[in-house]
Amino acid sequence: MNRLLFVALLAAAQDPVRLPELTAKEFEATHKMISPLPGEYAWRDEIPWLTRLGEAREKAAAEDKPIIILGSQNAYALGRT
Amino acid sequence: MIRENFVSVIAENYIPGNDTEMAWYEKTGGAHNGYIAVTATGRKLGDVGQPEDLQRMLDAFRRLPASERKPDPIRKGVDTGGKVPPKPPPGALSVIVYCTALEGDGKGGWARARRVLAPGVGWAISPALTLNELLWVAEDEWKAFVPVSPRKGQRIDVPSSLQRRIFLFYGFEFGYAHSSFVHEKLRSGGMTATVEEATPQAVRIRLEGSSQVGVPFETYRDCRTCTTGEWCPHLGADARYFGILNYDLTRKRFDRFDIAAVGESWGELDYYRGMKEGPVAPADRRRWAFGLAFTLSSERPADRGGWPNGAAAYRGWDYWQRGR
Repeated sequence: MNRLLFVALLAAAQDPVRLPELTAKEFEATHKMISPLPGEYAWRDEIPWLTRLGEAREKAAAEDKPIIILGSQNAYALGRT
Repeated sequence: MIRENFVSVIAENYIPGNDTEMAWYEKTGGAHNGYIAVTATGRKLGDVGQPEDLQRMLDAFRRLPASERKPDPIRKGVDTGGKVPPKPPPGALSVIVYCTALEGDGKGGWARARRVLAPGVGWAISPALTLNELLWVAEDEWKAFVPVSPRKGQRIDVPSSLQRRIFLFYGFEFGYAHSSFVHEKLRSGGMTATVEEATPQAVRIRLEGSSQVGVPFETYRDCRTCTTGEWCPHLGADARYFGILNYDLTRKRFDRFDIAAVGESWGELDYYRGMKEGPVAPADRRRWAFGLAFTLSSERPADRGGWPNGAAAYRGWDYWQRGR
């Protein structure tokens, strides 16, 4: 038996998950509800963000453009910051 | 304006790149939780705080001589050292994971929370934003979902490493709270996969599961030693998962990898969700509903070029959970 499944069954007796099961009936609507709202990710998805500085320098030099850098302190700037 | 006139790039300051990239980035002064505009030579044009700054930066750039705008040649450097952003292993699947705060809809179901607190007293976001993370699924892990001769009703073992990674790194409200160390403890968890339909063209798989990470709610609620609601280390979460995966046998790749999860998180969130500063009395400590939505990453550079928070080597976390 999958080891994690066994642990889950054992632990469930002492510390049950209160939440009802998520079923096929609610799945599609729930998935959609949690996904980004219309337009919410325009800043992320409509700007062609590069993720390596060297690549950005090459492109900027080739196209004679300035570079805009979005910097974050300790997480991926387009993700969980 | 940005799309037409700038090259846009992100930088995580703890892992900005290889030695060549780092040297250039240091020359610019770096961007600290914000935007700067620079030239390819490393000359800083200025901070970008307002949209109107963009035109000013662009004008300043165009006044520069070519030697300041375009270095020749450009060395890309070699990707060695601990400051290079992580890359997925060959053949890995990239999945984007969305997270948002939920509340009851009054009809027995869930809805996006109407109001949450941004970091900072007096800030309020309405409705709750959608935060995101990336999940990497190693090649051997996703291949485990595709049996040699799939048949309806067939049960598939979900790799333990993948289950643990999902539960420990994503199975809690990671949007509004730090929750960075919930991943240290898996109280229980399990995920099953069943073939729902198998045709010569595709295999559709149903995923179901639950997880419990961090400490039980009662441990947080009854704690008398933690002095602030925001920084109490007693964090925890429970979650239920349901997913549908679809593997295209002709193209030999997934064209759907959707999982939804609904859960409750506790610890820290009394500040962000309950808007309570300072020590939170035990009577005010509560569970807060959240939702997760997993789906295949797009081809956008933001998805393909990014990395999971937990995969950055400097954190010292066991992202891949092998052999556990």
